[in-house]
Amino acid sequence: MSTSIIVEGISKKFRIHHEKERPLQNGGVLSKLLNRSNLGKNGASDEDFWALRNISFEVKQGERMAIVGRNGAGKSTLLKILSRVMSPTSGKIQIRGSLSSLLEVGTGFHPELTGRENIYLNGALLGMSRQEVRKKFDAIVDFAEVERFLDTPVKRYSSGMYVRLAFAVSAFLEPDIIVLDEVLSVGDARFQQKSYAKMRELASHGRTVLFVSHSMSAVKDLCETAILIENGQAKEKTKVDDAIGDYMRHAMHVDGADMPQESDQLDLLALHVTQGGIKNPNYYFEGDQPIDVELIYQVKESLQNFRIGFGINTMFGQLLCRSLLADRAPELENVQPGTYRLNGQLPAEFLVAGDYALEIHASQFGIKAFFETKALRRFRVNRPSSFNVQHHREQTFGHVYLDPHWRLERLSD
Amino acid sequence: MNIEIQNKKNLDKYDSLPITVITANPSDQRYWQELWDSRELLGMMVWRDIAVRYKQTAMGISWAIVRPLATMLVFSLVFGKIANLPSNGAPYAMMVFAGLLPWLFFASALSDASNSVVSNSNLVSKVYFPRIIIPLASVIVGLLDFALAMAVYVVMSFFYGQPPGLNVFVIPLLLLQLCLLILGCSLWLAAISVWYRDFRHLLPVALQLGVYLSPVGFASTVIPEKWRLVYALNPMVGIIDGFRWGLLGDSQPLRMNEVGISLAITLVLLVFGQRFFRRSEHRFSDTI
Repeated sequence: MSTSIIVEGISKKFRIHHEKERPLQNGGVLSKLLNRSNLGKNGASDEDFWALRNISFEVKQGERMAIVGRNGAGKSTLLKILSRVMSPTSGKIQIRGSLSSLLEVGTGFHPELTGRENIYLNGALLGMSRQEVRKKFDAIVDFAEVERFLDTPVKRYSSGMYVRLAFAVSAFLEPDIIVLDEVLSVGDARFQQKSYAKMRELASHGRTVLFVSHSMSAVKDLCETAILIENGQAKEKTKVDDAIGDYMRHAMHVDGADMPQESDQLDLLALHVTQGGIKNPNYYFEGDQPIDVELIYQVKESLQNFRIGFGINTMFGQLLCRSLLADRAPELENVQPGTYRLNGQLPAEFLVAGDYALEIHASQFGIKAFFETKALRRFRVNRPSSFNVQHHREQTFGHVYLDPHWRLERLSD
Repeated sequence: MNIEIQNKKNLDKYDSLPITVITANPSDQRYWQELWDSRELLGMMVWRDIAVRYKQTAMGISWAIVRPLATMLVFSLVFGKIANLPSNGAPYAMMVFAGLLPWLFFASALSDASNSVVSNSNLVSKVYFPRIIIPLASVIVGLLDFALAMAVYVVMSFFYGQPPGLNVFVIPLLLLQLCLLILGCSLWLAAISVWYRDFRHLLPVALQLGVYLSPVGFASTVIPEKWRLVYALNPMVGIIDGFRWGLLGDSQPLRMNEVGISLAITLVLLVFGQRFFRRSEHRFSDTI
């Protein structure tokens, strides 16, 4: 199979300009002239910043690849270089066929122009010929649901109408390679579904797709492969599941389950997640044994309506379940100062194999949560050995094991 | 079987797709080709700016006429009546108007075009296309106002009994030179403005002075002979004198050496401006 995109050693350097000026003296050149004597230590300075370092990868024709990474990792810079808006500082990219990007829909809409006029203008900016736009015009209008307002300036559009129209124009492009960047969250729930379906359609037909999103479930749904970008450097291309796992692990580690965590009234001193009394440094656990959770905390003054416990999140950040100490013991809602140890357990054969995050919850009901940043502990559960071995390499479904006590009887031959 | 053939076809089609190469220094190979391919976009941008230009103004496009008429009145009054400067046989107002035609086009198109890259920063930072079409579109948009002012001039010339004669054939040529001059200047200014916004403030001042440094309100015959050659280094001198000669006839003096100097300066500004713009355009989106 032939390659669509070859990226070889792409780097991008920005020069960041620091202006160190005292407040209230923001007079630009004038204040610099006035301060000429101490310009040296007070003036502006430049610093190099590498947004991308030596990025290389290949995308095959028809491949749907995601680019994942945290904010500021360099994803947008990479996409801008691919769509030729920016030039790389070094390196080389070869792109076979036409590439269009749905970067931030609505670019190039002019508020004074009518919907009709803006469709033609935006189409031209995205590389469609006037004839092409004319051919697709009705479909675009129909998709955006703005027929009645076609001859109204778009500045009078509601924001929903505006983004719908903007999305619709880009959605009818037919490039060989399409770049989708965070365009899913457009419009209301119904339109989101519609645009998502449209994007899936764009992504089919053997078209090469590059997709950037912070929604891991969308990434998993749309793409087969992914690269992870961290601090401007790319990890090797992997299957989408592995990249998501890496990304979430990284993201969550940074968000911090580091103990102790302190606040005015409550300190979290230690969190131990173990199995059979053994602490696994990677937090990998067997699915057929229970997992023990131990939390040690110090209460500094007597608290009412105090709730502590943990929840389990999927790698996509959805809360799967949560349990608090006070759920089962209302009398424990009022605590006296002291150091406490709280033990709990995740039952065996509870979680489907995969990566999860344990989230510590500590709050005073109706008053406040004690910690702004979530204390998250990522861990991995392996498939229980009792499970059908032949299913071992297959994809997992869902998050929680259900044992319906299957019984099969043969009623006739 | 059918599917196989289809796949084969797709593959063949796929192999013949053009390959785009992106490097730190964009190659020159496809530059002009891409520019040619963007002509439809250029048309759209011109149309956009024209459509927007006089939206939500009560007097609409008549503003394009008010401006030259008002300026003409003031200049005729100040230079013609109060200072009593010569007009080489033509009505003073006509002489001023003939000079205002190229000057106002120059001034407004230059300030629009110089600012154009910065004011289209949302496009520059999001979509790729040859950047040169941005200032180019601004210059073309300016032609609309010029054409309207020209029409007013023609009407006025019949009113004064001084309709353009055969010399008028030079006007299209001069207009082309004027467009190239504006484009040449604005390529420099538009690119530099990406890094230094000072020009937004500097240019109005320069243009204000330019009115008096160019023979707009007066004939260039007013300038002492020994300074004429230095004066002609202002490329607008040749163009304005050319317009007067073309519109008002042979009574308006036109010096070929001044036309030559003006043409040479125009070409130098344009050729080097285009190179400069092209070398800087791939760094626009880093800063803008």
